[in-house]
Amino acid sequence: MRSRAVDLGVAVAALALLAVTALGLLIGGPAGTDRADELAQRLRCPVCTSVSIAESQSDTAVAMRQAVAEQIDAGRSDAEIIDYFRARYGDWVLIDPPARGRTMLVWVLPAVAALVGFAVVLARTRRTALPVAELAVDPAPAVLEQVDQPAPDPGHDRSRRARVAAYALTALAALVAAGVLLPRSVGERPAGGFVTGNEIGRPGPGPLIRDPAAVSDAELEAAVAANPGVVGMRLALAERYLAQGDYDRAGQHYSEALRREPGNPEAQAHFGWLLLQLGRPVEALEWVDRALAAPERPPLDALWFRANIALHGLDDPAAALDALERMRDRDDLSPTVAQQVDELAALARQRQSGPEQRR
Amino acid sequence: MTTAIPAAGWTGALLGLAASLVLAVLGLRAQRRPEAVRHRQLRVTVWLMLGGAVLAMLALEVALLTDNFALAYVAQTHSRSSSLLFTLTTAWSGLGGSLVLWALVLAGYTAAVARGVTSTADRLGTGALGVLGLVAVFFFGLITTAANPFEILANPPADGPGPNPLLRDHLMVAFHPPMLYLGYVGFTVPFAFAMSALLLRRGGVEWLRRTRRANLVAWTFLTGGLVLGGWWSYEVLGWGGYWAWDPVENAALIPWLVATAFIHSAVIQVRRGMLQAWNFVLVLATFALTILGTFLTRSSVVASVHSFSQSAVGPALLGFFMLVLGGGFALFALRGERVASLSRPESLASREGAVLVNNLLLTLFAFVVLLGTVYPILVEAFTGAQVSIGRPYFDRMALPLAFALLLAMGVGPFTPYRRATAGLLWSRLRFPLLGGSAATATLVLAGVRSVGVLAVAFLAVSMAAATVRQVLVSAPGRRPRDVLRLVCGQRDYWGGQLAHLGVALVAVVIAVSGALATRATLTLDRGAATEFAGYTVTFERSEQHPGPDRLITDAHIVFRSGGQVVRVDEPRLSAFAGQPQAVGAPSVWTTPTRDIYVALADLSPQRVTLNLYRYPLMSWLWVGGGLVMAGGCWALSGRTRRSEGAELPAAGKVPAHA
Amino acid sequence: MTIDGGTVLRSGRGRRRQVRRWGALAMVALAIGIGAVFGARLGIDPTLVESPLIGQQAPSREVPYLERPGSMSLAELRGQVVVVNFWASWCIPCREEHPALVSAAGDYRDAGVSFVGVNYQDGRNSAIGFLDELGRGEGYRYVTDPGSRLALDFGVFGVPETFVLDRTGRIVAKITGASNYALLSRVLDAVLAGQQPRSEVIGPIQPSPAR
Repeated sequence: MRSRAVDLGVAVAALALLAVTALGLLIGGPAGTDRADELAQRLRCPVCTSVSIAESQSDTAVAMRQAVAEQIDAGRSDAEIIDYFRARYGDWVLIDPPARGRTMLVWVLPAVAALVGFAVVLARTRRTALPVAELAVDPAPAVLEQVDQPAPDPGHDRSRRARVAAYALTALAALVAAGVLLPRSVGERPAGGFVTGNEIGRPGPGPLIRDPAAVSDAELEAAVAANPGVVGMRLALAERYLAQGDYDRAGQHYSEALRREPGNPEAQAHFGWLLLQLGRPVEALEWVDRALAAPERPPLDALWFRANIALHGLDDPAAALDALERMRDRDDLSPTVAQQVDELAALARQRQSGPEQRR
Repeated sequence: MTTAIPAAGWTGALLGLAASLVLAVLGLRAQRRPEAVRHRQLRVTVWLMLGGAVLAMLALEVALLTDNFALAYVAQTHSRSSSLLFTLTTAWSGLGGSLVLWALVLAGYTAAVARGVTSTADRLGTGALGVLGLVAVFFFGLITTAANPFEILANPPADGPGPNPLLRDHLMVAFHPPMLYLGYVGFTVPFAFAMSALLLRRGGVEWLRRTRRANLVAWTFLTGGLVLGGWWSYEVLGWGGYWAWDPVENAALIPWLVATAFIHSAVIQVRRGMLQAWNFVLVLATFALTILGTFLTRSSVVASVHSFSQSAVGPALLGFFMLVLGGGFALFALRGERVASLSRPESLASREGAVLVNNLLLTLFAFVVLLGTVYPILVEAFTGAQVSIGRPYFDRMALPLAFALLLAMGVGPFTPYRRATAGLLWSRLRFPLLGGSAATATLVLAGVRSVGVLAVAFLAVSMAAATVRQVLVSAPGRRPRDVLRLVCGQRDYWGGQLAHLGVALVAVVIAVSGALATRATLTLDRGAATEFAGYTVTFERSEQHPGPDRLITDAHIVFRSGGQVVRVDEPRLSAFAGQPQAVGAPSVWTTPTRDIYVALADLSPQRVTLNLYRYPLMSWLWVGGGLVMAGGCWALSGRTRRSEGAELPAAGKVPAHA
Repeated sequence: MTIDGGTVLRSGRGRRRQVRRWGALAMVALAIGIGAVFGARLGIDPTLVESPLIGQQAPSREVPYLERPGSMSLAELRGQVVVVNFWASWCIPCREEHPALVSAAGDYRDAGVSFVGVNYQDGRNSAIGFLDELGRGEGYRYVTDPGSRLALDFGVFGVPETFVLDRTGRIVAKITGASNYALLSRVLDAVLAGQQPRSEVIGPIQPSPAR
């Protein structure tokens, strides 16, 4: 009787604690995911072929990660980004084999094997009719078996019911586990990433802020002050001030950024844009041209700024059209920006033909 | 003088080959007709084989130590500027040398088996020696033909390139390959005994009992080799992880999984006489998968960072694998009815049932890993298309299997034999389950939100609590001395429990360090600082240190907490003469609660790009691995019971209920 | 009754033996099958991947010139047959194939073939030094690929890799590894005649530089 009370007490306490756990999980919600990293974990590095581009340090992997980040910012879906790389490197580049086509078997076979295995095991654990006395096997001491457990003959019905209950409970637990754990692991990537190796739980503090809209100016100022060497954040902050019309502060930050990285094309181009707002188009053009002369591919913004400076600042529609043509030829042009380019080009052409008409 | 050493090595290899041929013939003949062969002949042959292997290895080491570049192997893998330690380990850094090590370990195990074969009337033993001789013929044959390290060059170079830079950077190269080989090769012994039993058409527990020591030794070393491999990968390679599901890593994991199933299943056969057919299949599969793994590693059929270059060894290993697979399983199929148990587990809710489920899960796990590893090869062979299977697949498959295994591990050892009633299980597990729920509730309240971590913590804590409870309940008294007597008295059971505890700890750390890790990639100018994991990280400067055979460039990364310098990490790049690629080494700051891992992505005097990781509880992963090995050693240290008919139960056996 | 039982027993055992014989045969067949599949893959470099870009339109990304200001895109060369060769100064097979490329550039210039050399993951000075040492082709355009974006567009695994585009700008052939004059001329003759050339794997590619 005391044992019964203890049983009940322990069972209730355990269930209560598990309920606390479940409640905590439901309230807490899933941890944040890093979409770029998840996609990178699914792409194979062409140079260090045994790891994904998330883990590889080769230049190609870095370039691929940048391409992934750019496409995420451009709003492409996961499938589109994966297809982008598949079109160029083939199915080889996917280390997460898709569950269709040639790699379907690799997902199906384990499930089939598991089912077959369990079926066989269950089938073979029925009681056999053969005598226990074994001919070819060493006579395992019958003594051992008896010492292990007393014969459960009395109360056979009760033990049978208990056994059924145990099986039912196990089946229920298995169903719950399958319903919760299995979809999480076999379905979408679980919130938290992978089992082995390096993972993202929460994005670590780094120079790039993923969700700029959520951060206030003051916070960004504090972050920039704390990481003075991180130019990208500083430029983001300067852009904000520029958009707000706070040219003083913007100018301060651009100067600081250019002091730290004199050759940064983004800083140069945006500084040029600032100068245009301040009504100094000639200097603005100088800075933007510096950005365009950089050995790496110039940022799209630089061309846009050049066009605007040429058209609005210097009244040179031909130069503006030239810059807009170069923008049109770029392949990282999103539809909205393309529309703006077209509008500005129309305006430039109008201006171009305008003075001639007047003459 | 320069040709005396290679000649000695060649002689040793040939001696080994001849002796193993003779051993194969004598052993198998002795099994058929014990009176046809004298025991002394067998003993001498075994010693000759061991002597040949030792001579070959010694010659190789001496050639390396004396910078004898006339030897092709030395010219390819050695350099004058290598230090003493790395010169010694160069013996197994290349293909030919690693095969010599394999043959040496095999000869050692054969000698150990021969010590237990006291007369030719022991037909099981002589047959096993014969089979061991056959396997040795293959490996000595490889050494003397396809992968000959004793080839002499007509124009020896003045200096060589030295071993691969990754194999010259860390002490681990002295331990990891030999441990792996001690593990792989060790499973040849139960394989040989199983083949001998099949040839004799004699089933029973005899072959299992005699190979118990070899099983445990091999399994312990293979576990150690895998754990050390993970540790080496983590500490040395700098990509921030310890397991990449690389084909070569998988090739080592697959036999380990099947061998673990075999070890558990062998216990059931010895105790209850069941699952005999399973045991034959498992031991055959372990050995065949070892050969397959060796083939995959050395044949460049799969692309891997570990790949050796192409050689003639590949087709030979493939042929040997086909022989083992086809011949071994055909023999089993033909003789199977004599060795199958006549009784089966009565229900799954018993210890036999739990081990059966465990067998199934581990075999399934091995199947999944094998499928993922060879699937690209199969697809390319049949359709010509190229696909890749990597971490995402293996992680997804491993996760449910690992949970199921943890569950089986938590419940199985406490399940009685024959049939378990729910009441009995509940009485044994109720307090541990309470402990597990308390642990998860605590974790949730502390802010952990990952389902995986909570589930693993629940299972691990329950399992640990159940073990502790079992110790306290089964000990004759409550004093530490009584507990010690209990644990020393039944070393196989308690060794197994210690190993289970190690596995539970490893599972917890994998879950925690995976789900709760933090990572950042930062570019710092010299003198610039940033924040990471609660510390201020500064790149102070970069220095160069020339070494005897390398140039080391490092970056001084300073960690400050509250303005005080708490740590200076120095991740580095080592450039070796004669090798094109520099080797990066990370810097790991280990404390009991977390590891902070700093790896260089790019380094110039004024700017550094770092990959920083913070892994909670990481150092406990290696502790857990050590516990698993300790459990194996503990189980080994028990006395082997001699097979003298029926035996009485040992004192202090686990009682039926408590 | 005994006779019946005996017959049943005997035939049962006989059937089981037959099943086992078939089982043994099946295992041997399985072993041979596995051996055949793996054996067929021996000797084939597992790191070589076929390009899915054959037949696709070449990318039209702007890339800057190596030695003069300005940039170009492959779209400008439509109407010509174009040979796009990825190379680097640290790449040893690239040194071997360079003379063949230069000669082919000169010989096929009048036939309407343009050569474009894309410098891959390299430093500007090292690249120019390479060209100073080994020579430049006539009319050969040398460009760089900042950020390796053009290389990503072409699915480049390493250097040297050479792509041949037909007059409409479609990629029709890929040469992996160091090419030679005979191969280049064969492929170019086929493309100029409007035929479909075969893609070739000539030799190893170097995926990354020595540090």
